[in-house]
Amino acid sequence: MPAVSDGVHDEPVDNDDPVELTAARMRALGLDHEVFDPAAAWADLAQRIAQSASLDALVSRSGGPDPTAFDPSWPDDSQRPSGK
Amino acid sequence: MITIPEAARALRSGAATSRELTEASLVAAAALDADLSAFVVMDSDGALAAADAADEAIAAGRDLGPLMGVPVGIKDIVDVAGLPTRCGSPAYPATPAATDATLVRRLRRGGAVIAGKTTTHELACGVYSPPVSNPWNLSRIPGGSSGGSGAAVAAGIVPMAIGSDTGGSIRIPASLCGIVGLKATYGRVSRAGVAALAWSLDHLGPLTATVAGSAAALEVLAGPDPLDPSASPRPVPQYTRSLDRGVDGLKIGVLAGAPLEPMQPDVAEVFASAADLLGAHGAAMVGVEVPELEHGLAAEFGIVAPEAAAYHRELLRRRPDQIDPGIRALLVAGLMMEPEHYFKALQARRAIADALRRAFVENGLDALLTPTLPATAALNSADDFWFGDSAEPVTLAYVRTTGPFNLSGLPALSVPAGFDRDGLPVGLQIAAAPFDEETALRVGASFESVAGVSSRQPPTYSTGVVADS
Repeated sequence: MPAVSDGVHDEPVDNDDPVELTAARMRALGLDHEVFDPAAAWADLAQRIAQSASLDALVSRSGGPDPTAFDPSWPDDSQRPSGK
Repeated sequence: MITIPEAARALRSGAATSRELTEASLVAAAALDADLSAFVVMDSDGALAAADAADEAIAAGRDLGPLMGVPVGIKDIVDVAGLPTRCGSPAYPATPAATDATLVRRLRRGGAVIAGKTTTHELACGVYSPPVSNPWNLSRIPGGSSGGSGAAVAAGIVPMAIGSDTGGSIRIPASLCGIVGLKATYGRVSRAGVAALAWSLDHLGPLTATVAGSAAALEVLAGPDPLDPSASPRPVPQYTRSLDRGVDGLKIGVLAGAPLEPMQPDVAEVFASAADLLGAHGAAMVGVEVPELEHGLAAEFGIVAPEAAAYHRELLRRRPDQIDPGIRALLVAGLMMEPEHYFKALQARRAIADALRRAFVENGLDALLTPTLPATAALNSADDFWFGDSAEPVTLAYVRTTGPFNLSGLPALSVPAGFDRDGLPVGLQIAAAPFDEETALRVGASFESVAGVSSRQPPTYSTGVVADS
């Protein structure tokens, strides 16, 4: 089974084990307090990534709407409802 | 306690002084807050000094606006000079804020009296707001994250309290506590001096007993701010001017389908009656479906997690043991998820905002109705709602109907619409076009005047001083 360093700590990481990879990533991010539980974090992450995947039905994987210039206003007042 | 319009009349007619109103608030808080826990701190000395200043201004013939002399509560994520901003978290220091948030400066300039700071769900990230109780039933949650603000207004302790709203945190407590909550358009109220949950979704706004109070409060709160790059430079209308125009001639959409289902039957019944009532008073009602809203929760949490993690990353690294485990999991995920997921959620927000715009434009809508929430106030101990045979986490159930208007930035108002079989309040949500708070408030005021719901008071309530309303 291949082993790699997480780039921060010296101990090797089993890169086939998602929980170990999660633990290594957490350490790399400075999340090394004893309250952190890599197994729980991995399960939670997997759930959130699945939720993100559900957005593929709304947003194509490549391209899609430009999200960077979010502005709640509509392009011009002609698009506002009648009488406004 | 009296409403903002009643207070304004009483103060100007000499029927009451700001000191009397403020003392009534302080007494009510002392009497009720052992049960409610709506406030984390009262500022009696500061409030009475501000009240006396307001009374002097009134005596001198100066009119600072509709909130002059009115005691208000401020959610404890908003900086108030001289008071700590604890964000509902033991990890935040007790050192006082050095300066006021912009909205607090606006309130003070308008003569409002800062009575104290209201309890928030930890880091403004949740709908339970422990240990706050709901004035309608102390075993029920007040909603959140502005739960202290909702309970304080519903119980008559103050006529107005400030809330923040990232996925519904003004409208959820407003609905569950039977009061009015307004999330104005993104950028309408400055966020400067307020702890963030998710910068691009955060909104500030008032919780009040009446729609007129909400309109008056927004007139004071709204406006440009060089300290907040997202604050809009658009002029601030006089929101109170259209409140009595009724709904005759307006075209109002009634949302169906996603994200409303599943819904408690009593809520569905109240919602249908509310739409019928507006139709009976002259509005043209039209059914609308926006299927894209099915993806609202995924987009909402796909944005909240990384933005909240970025904001709280040092807290997460240094004091993770002082963060609620559920919130900690959200922050950890937000730090660890790849950027692809964040940007996909931002794209989804754009798609959802576009879909709502099309619904308004293609149907010629002036406003769009939904039930504020698909369920009434959960028990303090409940993790899930049961809709028939299926369970849904309380948080997700509440956010699925409110979150789309954070994603789109559209203004959304929650007004009391009725009660369920247990006597718990049901809210009606009224959304409008960007920066058209005036129409949402107009529809809300019209509904309020004909529905006769807002006059009911919860069992835990302070009548306070009597005004000549």
